[in-house]
Amino acid sequence: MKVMPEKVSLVIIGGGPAGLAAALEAQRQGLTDILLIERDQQLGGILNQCIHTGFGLHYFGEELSGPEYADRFSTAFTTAGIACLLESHVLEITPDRVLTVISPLGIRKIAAGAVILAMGCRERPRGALGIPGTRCAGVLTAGMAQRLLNLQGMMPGQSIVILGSGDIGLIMARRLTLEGAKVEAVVELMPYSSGLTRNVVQCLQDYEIPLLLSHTVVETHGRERLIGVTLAPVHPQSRKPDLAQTRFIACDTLLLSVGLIPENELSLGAGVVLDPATRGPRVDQRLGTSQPGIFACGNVLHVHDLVDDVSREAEQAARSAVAFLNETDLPAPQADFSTGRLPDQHLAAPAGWPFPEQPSLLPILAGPGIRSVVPQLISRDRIPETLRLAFRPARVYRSASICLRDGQGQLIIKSQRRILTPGEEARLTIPASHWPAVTAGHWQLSIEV
Amino acid sequence: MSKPTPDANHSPDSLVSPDSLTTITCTGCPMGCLVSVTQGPGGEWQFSGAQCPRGDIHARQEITHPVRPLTTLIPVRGSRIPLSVKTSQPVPKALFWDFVDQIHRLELERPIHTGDILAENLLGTGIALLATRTLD
Ligand SMILES: Cc1cc2nc3c(=O)[nH]c(=O)nc-3n(C[C@H](O)[C@H](O)[C@H](O)COP(=O)(O)OP(=O)(O)OC[C@H]3O[C@@H](n4cnc5c(N)ncnc54)[C@H](O)[C@@H]3O)c2cc1C
Ligand code: SF4
Repeated sequence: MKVMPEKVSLVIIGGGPAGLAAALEAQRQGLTDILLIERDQQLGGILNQCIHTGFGLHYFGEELSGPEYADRFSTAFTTAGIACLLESHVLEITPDRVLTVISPLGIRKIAAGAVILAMGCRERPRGALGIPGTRCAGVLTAGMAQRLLNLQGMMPGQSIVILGSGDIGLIMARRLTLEGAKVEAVVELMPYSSGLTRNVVQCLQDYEIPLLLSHTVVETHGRERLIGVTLAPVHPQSRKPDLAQTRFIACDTLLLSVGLIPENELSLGAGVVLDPATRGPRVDQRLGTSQPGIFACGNVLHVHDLVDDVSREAEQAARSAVAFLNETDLPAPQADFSTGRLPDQHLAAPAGWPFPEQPSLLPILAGPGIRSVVPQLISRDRIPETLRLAFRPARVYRSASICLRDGQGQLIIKSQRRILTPGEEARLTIPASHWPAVTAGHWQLSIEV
Repeated sequence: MSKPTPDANHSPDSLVSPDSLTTITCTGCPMGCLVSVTQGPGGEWQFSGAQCPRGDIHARQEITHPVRPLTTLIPVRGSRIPLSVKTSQPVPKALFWDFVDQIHRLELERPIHTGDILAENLLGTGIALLATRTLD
């Protein structure tokens, strides 16, 4: 039997901070026909399990815990009376924005005027690391441990090694210590921590938890349950482990905190072009993806450090989606989002570079020193008042300049920074006054020392 | 200048004898400057190594009255989900574990709402304990 899809103006996928802020802003912009879809039983996304404080300093001007930040938005959302499907999983989006949703009432088809992707990110699993050793119990991601402990009150183990010094790993080191576990060490492949200094001091140094930089786990041991891990130092450049200098640490739990990946299976199905560096959709300054009418914000677009930035970005996506719905008579941009990036920023330009000039899109390339940049494109027909670029440096730089240059190498804007680290997403604002006559085929962002 | 006495709640690592030296990592930004702390002839604290004025302010705070935010979980009778809580202000570092012990001893029952005050004046410090989740 063929089901006729229900029609909804704006569908938002994901009820985390991004989805909630997007829904509220769309309503403020005058839109009434909004539907938010969340697969969990409650709104708030990953914030529900982040019980530490440090959220909302920029957005609310006070330090909240994750659940409190989520509560402010979900209360506002419920009060606003915006339609919402809980325990409902979006299985598919077609390029023309028809969604397949599995909900407690069965399968539904929804035809959306516009879609905002706000599905967040997931953690890199063990398989992605390829650590040899037995597949015993006691190896899990830091986020899974956070969920078990903070939402179900279950201790994942008693003696713990954490691989990866990102903020989630550091925060879990403190949480587990506080609940009575012994954290033997935090092991980091890179020569620097990828977490905030504040977390290194307050989550590790305060409890005398060793941080082993330039080290990795080379083997896990144990039959049913983990009994220990073997560590080895790594070569500073090649990052290959030195197997002549291994050491065994006894532990019953290994937590992996080795990076987050935007959750984009749905986006791929919709034909949305992804960026190899952010692993989220490539977007223009309106946060529009390569598929007209599909927008993205929050961790599904790029991994954010601060939830405050997620909320702000989601509001931008909502304004763009509402503008799109109000002007559907405009021709859809027939631009190619897949060009405009060198395959590897550290290699020489490939054959065919520069790519053919596109009349409507100005690519922003990640040049030397830049790992990723968002947005990756500027739609020339909607030049913004101010443009904000979010980027991650490829390594740690001290006393460096961020330079944005046009296709001829002419400097558009330069900003001096005391420090840039891959652990902290940085931003560059380009005011309208700096906006040059848009001539050349692309712009390039780079770090110059 | 009178010798600044470390506050009564000093932690062991904030005890600095006149000629010994301690180093404090400034947490103000990713630079993570290492601020060396010494005492001058008159007993006044002296700081060096910070790249901006915030480093000295941070080091002075850490040496005289270090505080830390405290969030934890408390089991609630009849609830599968534990309650997440926070203190109304960061707590003195030296009393951190005393706070944790005191908080973990609390016995709670539903319903509890975000923002509810669960205990007032913990350890006589005037610091309260607040719920950060609703358990109806
Ligand atoms: C394990 C973990 C721990 C973190 N800890 C911290 C921290 O301590 N501090 C910090 O500042 N940041 C932390 N972050 C980053 C944090 O996720 C972001 O700041 C913020 O929560 C991102 O908001 P979001 O709405 O984009 O994503 P999320 O909060 O992840 O929300 C996405 C929502 O989309 C839903 N969803 C996904 N796919 C579908 C689908 N197909 N159908 C329906 N619903 C769907 C999910 O259920 C989820 O509720 C953490 C991230 C992770 C993964
Ligand atoms: S002293 Fe200034 S520059 Fe150094 S870490 Fe602190 S805030 Fe950053």
